[in-house]
Amino acid sequence: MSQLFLEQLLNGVQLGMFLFLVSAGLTLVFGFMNIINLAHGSLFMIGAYAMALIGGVTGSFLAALVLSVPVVACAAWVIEIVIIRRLHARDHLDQVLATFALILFINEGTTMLFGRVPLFLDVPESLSGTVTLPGGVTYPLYRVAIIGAGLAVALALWLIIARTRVGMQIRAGTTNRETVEQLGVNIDRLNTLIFVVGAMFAGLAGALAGPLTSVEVGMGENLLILCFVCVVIGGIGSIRGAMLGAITVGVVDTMGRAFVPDILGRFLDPATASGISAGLSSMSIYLLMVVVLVFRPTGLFPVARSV
Amino acid sequence: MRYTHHLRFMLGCLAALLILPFVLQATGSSYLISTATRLVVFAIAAVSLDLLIGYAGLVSFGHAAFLGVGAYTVGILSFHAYEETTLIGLPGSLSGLVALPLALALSALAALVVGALSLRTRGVYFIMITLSFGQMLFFLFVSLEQYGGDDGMMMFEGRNTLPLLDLNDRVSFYYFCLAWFVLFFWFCTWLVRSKFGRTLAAIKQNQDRLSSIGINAYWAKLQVFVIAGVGAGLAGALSANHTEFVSPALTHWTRSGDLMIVVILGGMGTLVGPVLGTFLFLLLEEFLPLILRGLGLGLLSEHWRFVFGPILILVVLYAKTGLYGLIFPRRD
Amino acid sequence: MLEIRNLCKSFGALKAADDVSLTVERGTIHALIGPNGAGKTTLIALLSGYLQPSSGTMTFDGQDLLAIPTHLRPHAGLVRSFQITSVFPEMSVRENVCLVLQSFAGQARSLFRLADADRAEQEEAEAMLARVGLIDQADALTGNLAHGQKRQVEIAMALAARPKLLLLDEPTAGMGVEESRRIMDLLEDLRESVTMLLVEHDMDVVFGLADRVSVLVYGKVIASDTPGRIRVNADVREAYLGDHELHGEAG
Repeated sequence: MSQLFLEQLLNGVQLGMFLFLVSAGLTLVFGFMNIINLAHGSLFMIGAYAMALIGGVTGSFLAALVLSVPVVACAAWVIEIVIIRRLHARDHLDQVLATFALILFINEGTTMLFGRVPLFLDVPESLSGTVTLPGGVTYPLYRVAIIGAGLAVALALWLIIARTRVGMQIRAGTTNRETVEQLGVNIDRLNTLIFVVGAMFAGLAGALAGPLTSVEVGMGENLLILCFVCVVIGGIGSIRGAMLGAITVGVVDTMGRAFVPDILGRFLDPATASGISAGLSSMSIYLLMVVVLVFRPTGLFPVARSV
Repeated sequence: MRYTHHLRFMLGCLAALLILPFVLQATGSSYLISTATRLVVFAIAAVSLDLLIGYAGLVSFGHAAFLGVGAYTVGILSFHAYEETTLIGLPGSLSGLVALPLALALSALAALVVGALSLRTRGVYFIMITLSFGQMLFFLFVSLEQYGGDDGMMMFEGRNTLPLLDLNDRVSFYYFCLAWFVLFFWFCTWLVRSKFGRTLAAIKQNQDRLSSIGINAYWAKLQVFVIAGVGAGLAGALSANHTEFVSPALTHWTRSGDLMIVVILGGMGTLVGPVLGTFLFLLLEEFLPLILRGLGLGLLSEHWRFVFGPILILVVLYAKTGLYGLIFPRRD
Repeated sequence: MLEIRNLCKSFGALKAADDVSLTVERGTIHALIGPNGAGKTTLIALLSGYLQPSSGTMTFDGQDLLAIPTHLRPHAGLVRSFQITSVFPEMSVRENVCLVLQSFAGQARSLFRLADADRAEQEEAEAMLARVGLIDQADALTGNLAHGQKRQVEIAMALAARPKLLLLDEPTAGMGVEESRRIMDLLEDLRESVTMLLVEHDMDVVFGLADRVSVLVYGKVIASDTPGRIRVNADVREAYLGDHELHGEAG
């Protein structure tokens, strides 16, 4: 039982890392640019497809991983210049609609290129084993690597935001946009930079997710909505909040799926229990968000805004 | 001047909708009556969303959830009538006199609960919390294994029954839906011109000012949220009757997105606009593939959304007044 | 009418209201003056419920003000106008006033009455607009008005609420001489029926209207007296050092 529990806990953390990678960009774009980007999940999907395509051609996991991130960056750059840039001065409704339309476009385009059949990728040879963790739990190496990658990105982000000049501008811009503009910072370039960097994280997550899930159209949106939950729970614009939200959502979701059927099974007949618990565990995340927002209408780590 | 122009246009639309079945039958395209019914039903939902987005400034991203509540009420009642089983001790029913009022009541209740919690937040958070409630209901319906789970369920007993009116006749059913549409549309027109409508406009324009003139914006918002929820529930109940099928797909978040698209495409805050938007949306869905094929773009015809997406982006960026703005350009 | 006792409000280290005690007598016009940043607008916000005090009590017309929710304070008779103009820009001037009237008639959420069909309400609104001198703009879109005219709309809206106590936050700011004069005359007319707490920079207005003047400096009330005594008060002169208005206004 405790072996299983620990394993599921790690699975939750690992899902949390994916969520964090995608949420980080989302919350930065939200916080700094004040833009809701529904198409952020599409960048995740593009990452996964780029991985599949490049991996298929080169046969090398590492090459595919290294190359698919710049592919996503390019796609994000084009999206920023063509569409996102025009949405700055618009209200949230316009942003939701325009980026929703972008999803339609990207999803349909991907279907045209790759068809509707999901693609499956293999875990690379070098990462396919398991490791034995302290306490005697064996756990797939690949998943450990993902947790490592997530932590590395979190650390890098924290360093950038806390220690660098650009990071200072981002922090300042999140609280008060006008100040940054008055300081003579090239805000357009900073916007593009943030958007592209955020997209690269999402793309990285997509590329890493390839071997764990099926690569298919629509994979981005399912994750995206979970990421919105993370961002909103954590407080829009807060990286720390996104991390906390992502881990919480990852663990709650995974644990719910793993243990709710068991627990319910003790009270109900198995068929009913499995039906209800599937719904219940899918709903638990949203329930969590609702509870957080009802008590803290601006999330757990609200970023003070003066505009 | 603009007002009479407007009125004449609406009466023209109504006349067109009234004679539509005859025209379709006369031209041998009566299969399109079903499409026309979809138009009318979907338009009810779009108009109800316009109350929120266009009039109260509440960007609800979970409106499809109430479609689901209305549809599942009808579907579940029909299921138990067919199986001759009970739900918490109550029998199923095929009677429209039971199913429709219950569908409206339950969607009102759902909207009351969702609204009461969601309306504590504002802006982006409101968009996200309504989206979350939408997702919750979606997964709730998915988990109802008894009622088909993921796949949904057929209503084997057909449409609801009413005294005097056979809903299984497609022309009668069209007029039945049209009557509901006209009633709801008229009600909304009245609402936005009422004193309550004025309060909604005030909320949209300057919400923070309201408490200083003694108005609690929360209750006003909750009231319109429930009304809009009932509108969507009505559309859901009619839609279930129309297709004789209910499934979680009705409450998928992209469906909420579609509804928002329709409102914007037609022109928000106009009530007529969303109806035109629905018309255009269904028209594009039906005919854009054909047009694309006609243009020799066979590949795109199956993937019409590939073309529709950019069109929509252009509308959002450059034609915010939508179709309504094209028909009634502002002279100022 | 209004009793403020030991009211405190701090934002972090900044004390915007520091142990403020103030009494506004029924039927008087009580002016609140002080340099910028003295906490005048904060005090208005505390009274109207837009801010919650850190400590202290406020009694209005015998009721504990803190027990009344923000949106019910206007119904209790405590109405404010805003320093920064805050109207409903996409409505006509008349409708702005009608909105207030319908709120106090308990019809804010009424579905049964069409907004345009209530003649009585509109006539009442027009009467208010006539009093503030804006009747010829009744049909204009409020957002298109000049700044001073929007201020007049603010005052018409405040009057429409039939206040017992009116909190006026710089009512004449941004108005021309003529409009300002008109508002002063209007406030003078209202003296009989409405008690007023008036925040104002324009000393002509203050000394022309007020029965009592309180001086707020750095969140503290340093003096509260008749206009004549305030003018010669040494502490006040200290606080207003270099402010010629106070001296120059004598005539």
